[in-house]
Amino acid sequence: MTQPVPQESQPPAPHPPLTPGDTQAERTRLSWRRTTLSATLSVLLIGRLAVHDNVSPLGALAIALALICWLALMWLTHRRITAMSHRVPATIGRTLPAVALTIVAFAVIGIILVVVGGVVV
Amino acid sequence: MQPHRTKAPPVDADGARDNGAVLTTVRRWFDPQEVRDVGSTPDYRFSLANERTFLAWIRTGLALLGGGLAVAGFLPPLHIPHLREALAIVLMALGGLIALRAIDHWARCERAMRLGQPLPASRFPALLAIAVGLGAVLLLVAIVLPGT
Repeated sequence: MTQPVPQESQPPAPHPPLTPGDTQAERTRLSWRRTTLSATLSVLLIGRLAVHDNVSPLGALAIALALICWLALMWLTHRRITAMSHRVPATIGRTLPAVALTIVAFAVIGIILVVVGGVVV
Repeated sequence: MQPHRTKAPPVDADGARDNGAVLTTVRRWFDPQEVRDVGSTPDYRFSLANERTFLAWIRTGLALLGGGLAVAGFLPPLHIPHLREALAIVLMALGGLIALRAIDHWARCERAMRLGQPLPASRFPALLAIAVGLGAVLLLVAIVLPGT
């Protein structure tokens, strides 16, 4: 693999320019995509758990909340990928804490479904 | 909440000095300005690598979460009552914990990179590996023993 030799005539700026063949932004973008895939699978499993026998009000609420979290995650990912395609480095703001919170929300929804389901059955 | 932080070597001297260390840490998760104001901006490649590490941890958490959901949704009831539910809940809680730890580690790494400090050391991966390994062995025993 030929590594492009960075020809830096001037001292590196605070944000060094994207060197040709630099795959950092692309790898990060693909990493975001993999994450959304994993999250989608989790949402499907939450849906499966929520409609195990029939759809209870709690199950419907769980599905609705999980879908909202999933949409939020898709929006965050889209925003991040768009920002990265326009400008590297793109400021990240509160995107990552928000992503972590959606995952925590998935976990809470799943745990509530199991706990309530276990108590009812 | 996260015992690894109190036991970890005091690489983040600033956080250790603080009385409300936990509160400060949590504030740093949500306040990018506070993280961004210290030190100097590192090479964006490092920041992107940090971001990818965060996402990899998030996927690890999602995998455990998905495992817990699959256990709850697809596994038939086990010999030991409520073992299935307990396993599902533990896996899902672990997934949520990993997500929180991911953002904590990301913020600490970002801060360390900006300040030119060594990256934060963490026992969390080792603890997680031991917990998952032990859990797998215990579960194997719990499932195999009643059958014999």
